[in-house]
Amino acid sequence: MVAKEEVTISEAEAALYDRQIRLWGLEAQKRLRAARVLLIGLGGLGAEIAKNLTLSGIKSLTLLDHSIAVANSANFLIPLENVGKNVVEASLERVQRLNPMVDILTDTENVTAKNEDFFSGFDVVCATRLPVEESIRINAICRKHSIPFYSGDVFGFGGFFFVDLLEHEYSEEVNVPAATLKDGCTAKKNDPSETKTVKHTLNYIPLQAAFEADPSSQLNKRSWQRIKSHFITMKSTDLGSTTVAFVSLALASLYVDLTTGLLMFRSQMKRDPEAANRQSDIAKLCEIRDHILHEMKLDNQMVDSGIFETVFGELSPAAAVVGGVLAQEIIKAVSHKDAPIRNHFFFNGATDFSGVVEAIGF
Amino acid sequence: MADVNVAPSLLDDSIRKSKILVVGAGGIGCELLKNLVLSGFNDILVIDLDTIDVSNLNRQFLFQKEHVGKSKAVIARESALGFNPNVTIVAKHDSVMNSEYNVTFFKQFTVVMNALDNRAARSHVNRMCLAANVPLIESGTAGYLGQVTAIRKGLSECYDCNPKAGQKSFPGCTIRNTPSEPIHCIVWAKHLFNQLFGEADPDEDVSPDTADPEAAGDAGSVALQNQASEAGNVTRVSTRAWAQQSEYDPSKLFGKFFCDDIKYLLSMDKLWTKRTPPTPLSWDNIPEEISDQQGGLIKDQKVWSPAECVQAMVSSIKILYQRSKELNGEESFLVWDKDDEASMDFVTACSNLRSHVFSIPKKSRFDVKAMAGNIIPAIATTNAVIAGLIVFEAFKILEGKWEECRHVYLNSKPNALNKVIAPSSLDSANPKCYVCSPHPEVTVLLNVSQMTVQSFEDKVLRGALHMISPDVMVDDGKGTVLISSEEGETTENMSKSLSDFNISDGTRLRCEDFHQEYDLNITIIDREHLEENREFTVIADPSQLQPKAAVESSGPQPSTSSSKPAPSTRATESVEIDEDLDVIFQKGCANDDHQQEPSIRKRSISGQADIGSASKKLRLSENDIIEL
Repeated sequence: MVAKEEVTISEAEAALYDRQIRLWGLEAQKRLRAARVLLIGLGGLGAEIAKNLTLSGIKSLTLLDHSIAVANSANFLIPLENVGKNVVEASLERVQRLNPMVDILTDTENVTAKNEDFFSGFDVVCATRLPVEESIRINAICRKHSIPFYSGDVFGFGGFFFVDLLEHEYSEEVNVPAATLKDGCTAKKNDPSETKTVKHTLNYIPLQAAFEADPSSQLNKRSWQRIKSHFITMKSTDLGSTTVAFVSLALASLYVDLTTGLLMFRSQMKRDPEAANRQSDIAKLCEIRDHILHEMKLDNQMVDSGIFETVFGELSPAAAVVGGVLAQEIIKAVSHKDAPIRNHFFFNGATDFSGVVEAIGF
Repeated sequence: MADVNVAPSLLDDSIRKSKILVVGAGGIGCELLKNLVLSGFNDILVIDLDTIDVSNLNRQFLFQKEHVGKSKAVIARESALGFNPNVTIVAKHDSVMNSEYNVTFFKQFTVVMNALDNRAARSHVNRMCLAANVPLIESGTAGYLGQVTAIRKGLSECYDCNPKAGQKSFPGCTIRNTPSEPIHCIVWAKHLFNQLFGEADPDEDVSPDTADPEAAGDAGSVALQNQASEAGNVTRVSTRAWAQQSEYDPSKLFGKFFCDDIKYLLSMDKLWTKRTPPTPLSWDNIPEEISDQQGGLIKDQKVWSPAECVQAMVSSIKILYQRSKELNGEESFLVWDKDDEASMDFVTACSNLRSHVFSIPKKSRFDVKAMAGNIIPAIATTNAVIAGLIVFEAFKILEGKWEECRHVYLNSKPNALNKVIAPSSLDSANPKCYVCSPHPEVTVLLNVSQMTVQSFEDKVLRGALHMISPDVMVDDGKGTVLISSEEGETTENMSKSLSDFNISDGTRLRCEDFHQEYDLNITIIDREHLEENREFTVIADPSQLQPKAAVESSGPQPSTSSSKPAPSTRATESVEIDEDLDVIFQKGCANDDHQQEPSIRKRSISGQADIGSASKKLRLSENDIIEL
């Protein structure tokens, strides 16, 4: 939970944050101002999250990554001359320049060496580029300390994230109808944009539960619902031929099984698919896919392996989309304002260009 | 740095060979430049006429504090080169609407990407891309919401295919005589600024309106009107000249606007039979108010007491008067700027004093700034997402996969399909579009004896129809030239009325904008009076024009009819599709009773009305709409 100290906004901050205070209000900005965020992994996605959060005016951002900066990375915070240095040290100056009012801290240790005490000092933890086992470990620690946890990645043209907010209370503005005039006289009217604040609570589950959820029962049911509603609202001409219909079904399950497949690849191969090993990595991904589909009892034919052409590296626009949505979710969580995503987000810029929210594991 | 190995090789190749135009280096533009450079694009031209302000820095991340005041395009280019010094980026600190950027200029680009924040520029770039036959990716953001779409001549609808709702404006009598809401007082205060320091516009008079139809009708007010016109010579002095006489003495200004003029309004007693009458203020007796406002606010969020308003009024007038004295030559007027402290203080003070007089709730400087300055709240993340989506659309265009291009919406909540990023198929062009159809046509309703040629050019052709250098001929068999884009050729026409050229009901005008390669036929319909003192109305589809229908379905409803509430702009409710008339633009007055104007007007596609509009209606209701 964000510290409840009375935080004031200076005139300089008011000028800098003017356009966003007008959107989410001063209260939300004050809460941001008190938030200490840990960001693990500074690749393309991490760079986008770092940029977005720093600009928003959090209290501090700790960048944790032990890897070395390489050329041609999607991390735009690394100047050419810093290639070869540790990735967070290479990025520090550009991050700090984005907003001198935020404390930017760097840590070059391997996250696997970090214990419980380390994580307990943060208000939000956001992990990228982690093997799922490590994410599960950290999420469990965060849970123990009531710390909101995010884990996300970008694979080529698409990406995803998972979020665990434990038990999250938030408020939202709902419109109320403006008061009507009396007796037809042209008296003053109320401010037309009247809203009232309503509070809600959402329950989340740990990553372990979500990851181990039986996909065949959960996902198929949900996918079928979505595909069915798709059919109702769209004419068949919009969808094209029936093969496209099958692909739609495949795509629905694809979000999850593609992500699961990529995470499994990472766990088994200790790295992500890389262009240098394109053909053999695609073969490996197909193998993993077949395994997952078999577990889900779905037809092998439905998933086009062409999708595996699109999962290499981290495309800048994919990082921008996923990083934008994820960072905004962190802002929502910290400010306790507006309904957050529960509990997965998937984006694919190669297939249907959609950003979808799925509740998995409940 | 560019990650060029990840995209399929064909795409890589097209990216490398392409030349991109980015129009705008603001919220979307900064994010977009970063994405383009990182994606391997290496020949980019970015154009923006603006300079950097501190309020940009929460999201336009290519700029830092030390860059405030400098050109956005220039600094954006510098920062973007830091991501890859080997790319070619040309920066133009200029308006894309300049004649230098002609169709030949546009033809050199593989794709044009708009990152704009205003309709006029969007409409203009739309036409240039149509003329040059270059694909255009259009986008926009507001708060948490955003949209991206692709535009290609012949393959999709263009930016102007769907008429946009007109600018909101208020009847003169509401502003000058009977304000009932803070916004009326704010508009009045802005007009006052222009009358005193800026370019005086006859439409922005701040003194009581004796011609108010509500005030007329009995001997008393007729007498008042006679008085007013008798004192003709005195009342004809411009506000500015009058203020000069006292060297902008604040007590004199205060006395006129918040005391004498108010007393005058009070004498127009018919106005006050059903309204709370205004209370004049006295300079010597400014009411004290005890502040009961909460702590912990930003300074600007505190509402000023009348005494504080007077203080701010005095100090801002002093500064503004000094500034206008220092101006000489042609630039003899100040331009109101929300980011200028004195300008903003002046409007806040005067609008709140007026609100006090009329017993209207006062607003903090923070709120006045938003209303007076039309501020749209903006954050980094929305722009980041939209800029990413723009690049994905560009990939499809470069691969020739036009059928995969989409109109993509960024929603604030998951829609019915659980999507926060929701693509929908592109619509085909409006066969009757007033821009992209083979023979564009519009109808304009106006009063031919009252509308001058100058007004027609400024307000109709440029203002509403977004032409930039129109040539107009009257279709009278004689080839009468009404307006020529050549400097000086038709100057003597400007002050004449349209009727002086025998333009009457049903006359057709042939308009051409050579620069935009745009021809438009206009049919004039002579109307002595339009609702609510509007000066003109532009109708997209003349074949659907019915005299009654024009009144009923054109935008905000007149106060005399018992009308339904206008459709909400919030798209979680379903958006009503106006299948009657496509009103492009109305200048003049919107009725107070209808605060929410419909933000989307959809045409009825003849023959496909049922399917087309139904599915579109559903699609619209699934997504949050902001109007680009």
